[in-house]
Amino acid sequence: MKFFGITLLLLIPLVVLSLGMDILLGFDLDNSIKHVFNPFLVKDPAEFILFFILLSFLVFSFFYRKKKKKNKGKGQQ
Amino acid sequence: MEKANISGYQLFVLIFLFEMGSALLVPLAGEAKQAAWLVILIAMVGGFLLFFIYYGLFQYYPDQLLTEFVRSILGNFLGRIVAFLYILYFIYLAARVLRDFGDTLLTFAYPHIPLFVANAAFILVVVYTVRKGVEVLTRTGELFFVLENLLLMTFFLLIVASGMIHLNNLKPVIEMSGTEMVKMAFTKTIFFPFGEIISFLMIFPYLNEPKRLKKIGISSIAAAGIFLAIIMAMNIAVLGVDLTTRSQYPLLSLIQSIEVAGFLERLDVYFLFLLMIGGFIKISVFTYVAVTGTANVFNVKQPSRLAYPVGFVILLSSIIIASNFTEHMHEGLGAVPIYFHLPFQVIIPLLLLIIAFFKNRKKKKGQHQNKFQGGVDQK
Repeated sequence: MKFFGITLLLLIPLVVLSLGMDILLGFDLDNSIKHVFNPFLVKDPAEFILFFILLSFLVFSFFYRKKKKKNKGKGQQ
Repeated sequence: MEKANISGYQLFVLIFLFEMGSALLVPLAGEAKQAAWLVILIAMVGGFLLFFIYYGLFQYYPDQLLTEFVRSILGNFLGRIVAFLYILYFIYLAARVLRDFGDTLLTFAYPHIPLFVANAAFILVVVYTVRKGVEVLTRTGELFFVLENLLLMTFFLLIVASGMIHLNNLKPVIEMSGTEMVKMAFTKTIFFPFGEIISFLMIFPYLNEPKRLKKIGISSIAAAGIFLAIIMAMNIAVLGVDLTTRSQYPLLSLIQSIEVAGFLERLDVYFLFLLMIGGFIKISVFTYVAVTGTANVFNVKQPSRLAYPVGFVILLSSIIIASNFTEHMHEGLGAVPIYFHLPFQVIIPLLLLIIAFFKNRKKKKGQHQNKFQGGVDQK
């Protein structure tokens, strides 16, 4: 879960940063929010599939731990 | 901090490729017209000054990463916040460079591929390299360095052989006044690409010969600066000022115009190689630095496990960062140098150096006094 927390902690400020940049460029908040989420609304099916595959890898990486250590521990016992 | 050692040559290569990375793509200092190459050289001198600031910090804390010595200087709480901001800065820069390269690939080579797919393919390779550690990254750099130099040498030869260089295009050289040139160099060109070397504060501690760092740093910045100046001068000499400043990728236009003996032409693949080498090294360095920094700030014992999550964040940010290429460039040229580069490359390191100077002076004084008292006691 630590990795999940770190990922969110990195992602959220970067999204806010992107919003801030749009506001600096003169867009209002509504438009800048649209700009942030627009790339995800106009995806092709192929892009969506790739996105979900990568996302599932990410979720998997949060919970995955090397099992070798456990085996070694058991062996020693 | 992982257990790794890199040699002086490897660091030189890495800095050189890093500096050349995305600076080759864009019309660097294009607003200076015929004096662009001079502005790059002036900015290179500014790059030396920035490097001396970073080198000063490194000398105070030779065994610590940027995210570590920030905490030693500013205290644990404030230091952690500044270190976290630096991590965000590196991730943001990685995302910007990734977007740059993704967009370039789409406009020039793969018009039908979605941006997300191109960026995903690129970042997956980067994540794999970063997982393997800094030694693998530097060794890859060594391989690419040879290839890049071979490409550049043959490229120069072909340009000269095709007889396209018109030195008159470079005249009048000093149309701009000296102060204007210095102003442009120190407000724009110095930050990109020379100031980005701050990310190497996370790599310097791995150097196995720290005493040679000053020479290595200066020589690599000088080599990159001179190469960039020559390439920009060549762009202007061949294409002319108008085409160079209007073109999104002047180097591509230059390479496309090569025609030797009526059959050696369409050498776009040169551009693609240079693009891939530079982009790969630059994004890898930023990602590696971000991963190491995150592991350091959040006390993660296996930094390699962070490579994929950080890579994914970079990928998403590269898509979110702007809704189109024009907006991306507008942000990159307008807001980023003032709001990001200036504080993170100049102001914060300078403040850190000043604080480190006073802190270490106190320490030195204390040590000196202790020695003196100890000497008296012994007597």
